Amino acid sequence: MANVLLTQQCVRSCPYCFAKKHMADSEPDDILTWDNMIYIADLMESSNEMGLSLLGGEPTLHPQFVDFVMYLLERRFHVNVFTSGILSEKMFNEAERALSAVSPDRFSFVCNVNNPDKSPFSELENVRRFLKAFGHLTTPGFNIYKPDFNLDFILQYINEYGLHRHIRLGIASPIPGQHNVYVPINKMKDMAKQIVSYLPILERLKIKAGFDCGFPMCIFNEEEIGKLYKHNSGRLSFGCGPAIDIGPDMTVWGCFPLSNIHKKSLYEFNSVHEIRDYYRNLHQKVRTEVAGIFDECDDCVYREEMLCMGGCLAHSYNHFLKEANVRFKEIYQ
Amino acid sequence: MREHILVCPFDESLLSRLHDESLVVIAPNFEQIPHVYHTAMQRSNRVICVVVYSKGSLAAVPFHESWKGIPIAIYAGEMGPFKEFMMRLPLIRDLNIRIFLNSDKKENFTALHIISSLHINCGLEFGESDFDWEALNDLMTYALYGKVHHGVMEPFQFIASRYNPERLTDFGTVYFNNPNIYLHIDKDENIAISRKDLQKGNFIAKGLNELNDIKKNKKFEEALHEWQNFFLQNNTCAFCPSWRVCMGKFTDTIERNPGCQKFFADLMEATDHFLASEHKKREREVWQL
Repeated sequence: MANVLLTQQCVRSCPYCFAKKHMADSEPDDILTWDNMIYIADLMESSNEMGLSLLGGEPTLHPQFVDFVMYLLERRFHVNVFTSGILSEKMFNEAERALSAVSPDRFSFVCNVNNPDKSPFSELENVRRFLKAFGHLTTPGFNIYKPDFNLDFILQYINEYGLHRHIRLGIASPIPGQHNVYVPINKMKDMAKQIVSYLPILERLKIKAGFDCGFPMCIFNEEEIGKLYKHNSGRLSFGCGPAIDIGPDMTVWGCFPLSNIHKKSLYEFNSVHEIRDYYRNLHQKVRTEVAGIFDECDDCVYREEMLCMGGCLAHSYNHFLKEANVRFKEIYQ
Repeated sequence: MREHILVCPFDESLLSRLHDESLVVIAPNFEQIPHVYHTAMQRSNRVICVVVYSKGSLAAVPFHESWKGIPIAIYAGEMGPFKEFMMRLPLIRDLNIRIFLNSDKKENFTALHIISSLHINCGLEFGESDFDWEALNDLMTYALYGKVHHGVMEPFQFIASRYNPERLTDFGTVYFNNPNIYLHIDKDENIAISRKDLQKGNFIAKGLNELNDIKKNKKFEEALHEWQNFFLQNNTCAFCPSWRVCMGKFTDTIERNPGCQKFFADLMEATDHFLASEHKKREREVWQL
């Protein structure tokens, strides 16, 4: 599924934001136009890819956000929106009128929530209003950026607002050459323990927790992997594949933390498959240089068998920045 | 039945005098579309389409179930609020309709892009103001090179599908302005070459009887060959390779709004591409008994 950025603007300034380099380099008022949206929809349809994620910044800041969603639904796309849940009064009313009755089979939100203890009251009010109206369409998402995180408030949100009983757990990634907050490699096992410590209550509440990309398998021990395997009914992934992100200026890149590297124009590709192949090949080359985030990744049989991709590729790029430019030349482009 | 299709306003008295004609009838408003159609169909007339000219927005058009089966052309001022247009979309899809928006509003180029991508047949009506040739080129590129199936967009589709390098392709036909096919007539039986001429009082004849001998009419004859005039002048159109399609339609604006030659050159290239891809789509044809 490709990710389409409707706008570069955001309403929050999360310390872990791995899109901040991209946002900082872009024109703040750069928003996706109708003509470009139609181009992207056509490209997706001609590639037989009928699912799209709308992102930002905060995608609901785009003045045509609701129109775009309605348009894509009319064209039979499945639309998923990544949002903070913080919408202006006007946009909230417009979205509630037009979208709250759409079938969850066709339309969904991932609401990335932050710990309420660290969020301003007005922001929380907005998020609660959003969840109350769109809970039935919403999967909560949480980006882990420190090992001692807390998920209790999400469990409360799920029960209070009837959200999907699934938490999308992301891991904040480093931005090569930039400063953002993320879980350091030597603290990842502590983070893993914290995740596993939530499994009993998640199971009692019949809530699943699934991993987004970038989690290495070996931060969990055998027993923990067994528990996670059972918890997720055997669907356990430790992947890191190229996400396709398309900016409002029609640039494309192979996932947010790497947005300042290998950016191309969407017009250079004839299909989504071409884009995916391009970034897959590129990332594969990077992995031949640095297999994963741990030194042990080089000889890891599970990595060779693709059970684990060796963690987030952005960590590998951090290696390159600390050394002379001795790797293959595309890495530095 | 007469060779020409008559374009006339809805006037019950005029229609009562027309028999066995092919008609394009201009309805005074949207509400009367079914009445106009059924009235015009009487006396063995054939209705090519019912046209409504409106300065309002498409979103405000009261599309109705009773329009089903009626060939309709709507000329609207703009698309209007997208959400309201979307609410009408399921019904619009069931109608035999083509929607035209005017080039005078810049937003209409994007609106047509949207409408076409939603599988609604549509078209651009050239207005009075200068427009952006680049925007027109983008629209044409979408219409003829589009990656996925979409609604037909005029006049590009007409030109691309009817183009023949050995004869003229008058895209005025899309707007009922081609004296080889259409003649315009008002309730007083004044006859003109185009709607604009009719409104301005530039008549070529008067009376339904005149239609029988229209080919002998001098003004009609002149109108048929009007396109030849620019070859008598030393202007840019005389040297333009796309004259068989453009026929000098933009002569008056070429100095203050240049760009037509480049556009039409690109259109010709797109037409080649379109015809080649249509040819590929065609199944192998075997001779028929």
